[in-house]
Amino acid sequence: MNKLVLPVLLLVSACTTVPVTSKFPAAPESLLEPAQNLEPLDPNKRELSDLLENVAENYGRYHILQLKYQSWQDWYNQQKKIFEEVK
Amino acid sequence: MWILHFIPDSILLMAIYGLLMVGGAAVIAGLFLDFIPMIYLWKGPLLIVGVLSLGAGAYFYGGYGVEQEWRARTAELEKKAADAEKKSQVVRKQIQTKIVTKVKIVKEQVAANQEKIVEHQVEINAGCRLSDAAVNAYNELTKNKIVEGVHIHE
Repeated sequence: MNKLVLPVLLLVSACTTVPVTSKFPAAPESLLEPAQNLEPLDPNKRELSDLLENVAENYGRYHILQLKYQSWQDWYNQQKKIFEEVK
Repeated sequence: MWILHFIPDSILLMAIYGLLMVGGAAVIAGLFLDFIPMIYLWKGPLLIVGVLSLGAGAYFYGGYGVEQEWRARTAELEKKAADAEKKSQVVRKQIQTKIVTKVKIVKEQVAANQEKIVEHQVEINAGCRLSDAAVNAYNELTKNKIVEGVHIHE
């Protein structure tokens, strides 16, 4: 047992820690907002124009989600590139 | 060598050089100055102490070199990590600005289209009204549910 003390001390003394930490990058606030549901049609609104208005609203929501989805991909690709530069 | 973190560099280096010099001097004395009676008497212990000091000095000198390399590497990585954090912030702001601008455009276009629809509602409607089934089916679609009770006539 006593013979092990010196080798263990030498081995432990040779250990090196590298104290470099990097923060996980924060995503843009807009991308963290919850997605909106599609807007249903008011049952009292029976005109075709009401339907089209509702469709316009829902298409708008889709386009916003599409934009946010593309932005997530863009954000991820750029962060990945930055992360890979730190080596 | 984490143990070296607790000792200032200058003292550490002095101690290492001291060990090497003491070891070297003891070995030289033990090997070549044994014609001096005092040294001749202590030749054996002197050589043992010299070799041990040289060994310890070489070990710590190597460890010190590795420690300095790691410190340089750590400093380099810290700089890169700080630069990456700055770049990451810039990218975040750019994307945030882009989203806000484009969302505003989408909302403006939706509002403009809705206004146009209201403007032309007489032509659009042409006397046509939606049935209960159509409204129900449409609302089920918005919730991604299976449309029940609607028959498609061919």
